[in-house]
Amino acid sequence: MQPTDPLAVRLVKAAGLRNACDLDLLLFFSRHPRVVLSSEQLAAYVGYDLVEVARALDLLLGAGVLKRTLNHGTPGRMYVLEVDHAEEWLEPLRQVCATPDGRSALRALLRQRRSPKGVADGDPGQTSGRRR
Amino acid sequence: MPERDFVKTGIAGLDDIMAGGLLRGSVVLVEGTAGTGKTTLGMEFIYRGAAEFNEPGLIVLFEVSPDKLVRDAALFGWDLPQLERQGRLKIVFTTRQVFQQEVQQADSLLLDEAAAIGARRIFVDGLVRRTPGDSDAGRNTPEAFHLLAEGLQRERLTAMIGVEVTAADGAGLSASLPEEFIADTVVHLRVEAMDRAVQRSVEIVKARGQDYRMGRHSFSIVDGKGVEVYRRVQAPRDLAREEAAAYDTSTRVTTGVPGLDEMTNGGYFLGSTTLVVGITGSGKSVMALQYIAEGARRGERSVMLTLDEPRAQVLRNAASIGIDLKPAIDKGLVRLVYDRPQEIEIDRHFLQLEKIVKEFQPRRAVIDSLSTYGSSLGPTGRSFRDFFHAVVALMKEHQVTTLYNHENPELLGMSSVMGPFGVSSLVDNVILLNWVELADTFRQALTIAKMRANAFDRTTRECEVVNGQGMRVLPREIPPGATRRLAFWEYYSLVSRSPERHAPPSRG
Repeated sequence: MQPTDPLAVRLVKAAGLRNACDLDLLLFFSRHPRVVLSSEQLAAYVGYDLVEVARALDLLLGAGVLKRTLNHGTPGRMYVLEVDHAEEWLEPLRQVCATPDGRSALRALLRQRRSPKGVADGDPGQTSGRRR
Repeated sequence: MPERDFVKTGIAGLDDIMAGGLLRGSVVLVEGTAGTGKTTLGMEFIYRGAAEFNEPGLIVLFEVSPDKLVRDAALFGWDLPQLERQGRLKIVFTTRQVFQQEVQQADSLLLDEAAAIGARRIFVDGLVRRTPGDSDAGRNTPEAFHLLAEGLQRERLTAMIGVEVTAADGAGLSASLPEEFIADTVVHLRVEAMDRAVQRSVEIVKARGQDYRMGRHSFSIVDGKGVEVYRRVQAPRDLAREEAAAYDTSTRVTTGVPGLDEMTNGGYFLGSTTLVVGITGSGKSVMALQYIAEGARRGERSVMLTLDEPRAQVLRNAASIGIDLKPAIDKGLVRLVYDRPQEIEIDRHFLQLEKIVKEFQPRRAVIDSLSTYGSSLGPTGRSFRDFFHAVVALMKEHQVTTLYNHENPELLGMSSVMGPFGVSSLVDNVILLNWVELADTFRQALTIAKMRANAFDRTTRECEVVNGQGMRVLPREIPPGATRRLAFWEYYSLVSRSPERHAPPSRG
């Protein structure tokens, strides 16, 4: 798949993704639709730094894709994916990203769509935001 | 005595060995090494509860991602996403560390999640045993486990908790850890090596406040079905089985072998156990086929369980002696059951036999052959003897008149009925099939060595198997002019390998 593939473009737009961390976090929650984790653990699972993950979480929470319980004094918070897997874009997105080729294409597309300022809201895969 | 509230697991065979299920509110530890089936067992416990008993459930995972669990469940035909959509199931992914801290909270998120769907069951997959000196914070401590048990009890949840043990621990799985004292029920799952094969087993080592069947019961994980537990052959059944020693001495079951009914005064007693012993080729299977065919002629149901020959081969052999079993099979009078003797799982095999006897209700049965069971289970160990005991008791309880073929390795004569298989005392009747060498000919001999409560013909009689006709026992006297050979009665010591002719009667 190429980054210019219409399907890739449509999926990224439908999911409201802005960069690779958004994508990887969404994919993590699609595999784990109901989790109780600390922020640090979440960051470790997806492989980005805390700041980047916090920003991606805000995006997904703001879009209503994800729901989070209030902090009640324990390290873990519950995150629940609000999009049913039958939702028209999530399952195709998962299928595309099930291959390294497909995931790379989406990440490349997200890189291309970043602002002219480059890394300001860009792809942590190319920046210090990516931890592994 | 107050009535106890049992929770049926719904797992095939497990409730039976748990004497009805788990007590509601129990905390059940399921311990085993990797690959022993803990996740499948726990997942089925939750699935059956939600799908079949209207008991919503919560699954807590640490290592397996929920989508893999959903995928694996689908192999068994369990639609977990559908249960989630219906609000009867929640799957939560977390870490052991968070879980430990969570369950210590009065307002635990996890237990709130359970309460939100009215959960009655919970499965926590993948706690790790903390061994002495182990400082890994990810492992649960007895104190944390105690708090978990308290929390679960508060919510009246019946909990199954999968506990990982290392291969080194798993070899013994016997050293009790503090968690085992806290838990109400402890279940050990094993994959045990048997020569080069392996067998899964489940053992209930503790079940507070309820009865259970002790010992290691085997189980399988079956695609499209799930876990199937097979009660240990040796485990006691109901009282009727234990007391079913008698047979009906007023009803005879004909043998199907011309001449043999006269020797036995009309056939075997109903519900009796008959051992037919002889070297390969001596006519045991022929006798068995005629017994089955005789039943079909009389409209009696018969089952033939064979380990030695697949079904097609049995049908072909039957055809060679003029018996067409196909119409009787089609009419539902005869069932041929073949099980491969290699790697036989004896508990599963016995359960299969038990089901056939209960559902098909045969009047006649043939087991062909005991020696093959012996080779699979080992003749001298307890397994064979226990299996044979169990089969005899099953058949007697259901008054099935049963022939057991047994291959004796001795070519000529017989110095022992069963050699190392010391079970002949269990049987009611023993028939010996022998070759005897007279002049230049091997002739076939039949001797009834034992018949309980029956006055039978004790002479060794000649018999023959004729192509297209089968076996028949010849009259004691050879009809004049039939052949030039001498009758068996004119010899001594036919079965003891050195036949000797009587002195000819003196003339004059």
